[in-house]
Amino acid sequence: VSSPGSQERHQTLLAINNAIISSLTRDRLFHAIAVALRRVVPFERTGIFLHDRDRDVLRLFVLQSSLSSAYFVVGLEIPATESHVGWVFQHRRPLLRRNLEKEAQYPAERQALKDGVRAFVIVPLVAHDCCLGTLAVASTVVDTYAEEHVTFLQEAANQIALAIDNMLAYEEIAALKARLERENAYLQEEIHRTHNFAETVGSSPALLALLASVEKVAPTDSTVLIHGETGTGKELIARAIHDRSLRRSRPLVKVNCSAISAGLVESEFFGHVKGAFTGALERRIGRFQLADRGTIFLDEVGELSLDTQVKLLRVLQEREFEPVGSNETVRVDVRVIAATNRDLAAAVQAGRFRADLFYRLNVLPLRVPPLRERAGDIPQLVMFFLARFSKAFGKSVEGVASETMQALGRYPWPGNIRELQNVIERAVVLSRGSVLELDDSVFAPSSHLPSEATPRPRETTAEVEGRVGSEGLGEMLENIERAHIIAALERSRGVIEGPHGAAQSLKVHPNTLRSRIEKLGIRRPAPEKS
Amino acid sequence: MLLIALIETPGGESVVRLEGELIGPWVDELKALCEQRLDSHTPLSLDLADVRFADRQGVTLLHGLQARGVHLARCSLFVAEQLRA
Repeated sequence: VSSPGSQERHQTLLAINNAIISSLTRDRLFHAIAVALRRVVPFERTGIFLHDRDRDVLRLFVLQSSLSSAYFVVGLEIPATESHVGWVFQHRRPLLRRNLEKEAQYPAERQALKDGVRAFVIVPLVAHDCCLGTLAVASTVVDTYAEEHVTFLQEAANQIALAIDNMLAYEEIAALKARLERENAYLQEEIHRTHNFAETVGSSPALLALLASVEKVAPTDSTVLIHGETGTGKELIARAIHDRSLRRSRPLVKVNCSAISAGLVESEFFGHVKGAFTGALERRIGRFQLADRGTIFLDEVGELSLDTQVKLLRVLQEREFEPVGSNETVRVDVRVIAATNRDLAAAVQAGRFRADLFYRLNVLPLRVPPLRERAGDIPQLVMFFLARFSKAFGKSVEGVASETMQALGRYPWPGNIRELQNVIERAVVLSRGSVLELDDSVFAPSSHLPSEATPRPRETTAEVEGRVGSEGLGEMLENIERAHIIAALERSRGVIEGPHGAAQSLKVHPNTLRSRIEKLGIRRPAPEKS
Repeated sequence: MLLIALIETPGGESVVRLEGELIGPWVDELKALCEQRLDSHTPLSLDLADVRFADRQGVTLLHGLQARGVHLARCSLFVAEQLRA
């Protein structure tokens, strides 16, 4: 037996270190380790077993051998108990067999004997007080190994264990990243499947004109301001623009500006570092950063406070910002699509919206027509939602009664497509026969609504101007808002939260809706059930 | 996504069974298949029972095929409404 000298040992450990630093893949790493070990430890076979926690087995992870074997092949699983490798793993102590023919105890050792092995050393691989597996060297010559070899191999194993620990973490991160990418692709597809069609259902001149505008503005990188009443599908138009743009392979990130409380809006937009404020328990990436190289959709942009408008303006002008609590400037490449149901020009006049921000947003204005301006599309939309909800609820509705279709066509739809969707959904849920029928109560305004809260969707511009003159713009807007909220509460039967709640149909946060209900003095028709 | 299945009936007719959305690149795919069958003067039917949506180009193609004598069978209510509009 020749023992490794002190200088050789140090050189070998250094070589192993270098291999660990420079090699990330398991094959290259292990090859470099084997080459280094061979300088001081003779062997015909060397291998690493790693512990599989789920199955409690030791699996042969890498192997370098000049001995042929049908048994010792990569992937071999040996029980963590009742084996020579398992003993080392369990006891975290080296095992030396100077003469295997005399000392063999376990079945796997007899397999090694068959391959010609006559001596071996196995040492545990321990990193951060956790045993990861074992490192083994084997020889065909009896008495090849002595205690000095064991000591040296254990020193080398301590370094190798750290490298394996890092490599396993690296592989786990890579696997998680791949999984996230797959999930992301799946979710993007789901979004497309769910939302991609409703905006193109119909063939009215008003819709075709809008879609022609979408085709024109989509390939440009300019900011778009979408204006339209509640429920007209502004988000779908934003998605259609994104899907037809050069940024379509990157995400469309939505921010509902009315649903974010004033205190958190900056963090929501720009993110924050850990500890930036009480409650900032973790670092958080802001929506602008998430949308980098994609599109950000600022829904209800007219609801932003003047303070937040200033911060938003800076991002739009300079495409850079600092996360809350950070000095580091983040640059982003984001296309902005904003939407509002408010008259922003009037809001500028009234001092509620910054003129400079308005002009930044209003580069390419698009108006989404209300459903009453495209009444010819109602039959198609009805059939579209009928097909969707019939399938979703397992109903076989095969048609719509002609009186019902006529009534649907006559109704002014103050809640627009979202209201039509809700009406059809409710009708499908309640339907009994194969023909969809709706009674007039679906359309009739509530008897207990205050008269000024009744929606007046068919008003002409002159009528609106007349009302503005008599009651003032602020009051008129409040009345319209009140009417929409009451109509939504009627439809949801007083429920605010949840998938069928009024907040969902109005696309606002439930807390925002509760606050508006209180402020506008609206009494709910029934207690909230959610 | 559109699944296109071509079924040859014993009577010598071709039935193209569609499942999914008749949109984007699948419109051209269906068009090429139908042109091939029509060029060989094979009677052709489209089974549209499982078509959930047709975009504008899809509707135009269906109208064009109908005008050339292709039978559009088992339209869903929605697709029928799209063709009617």
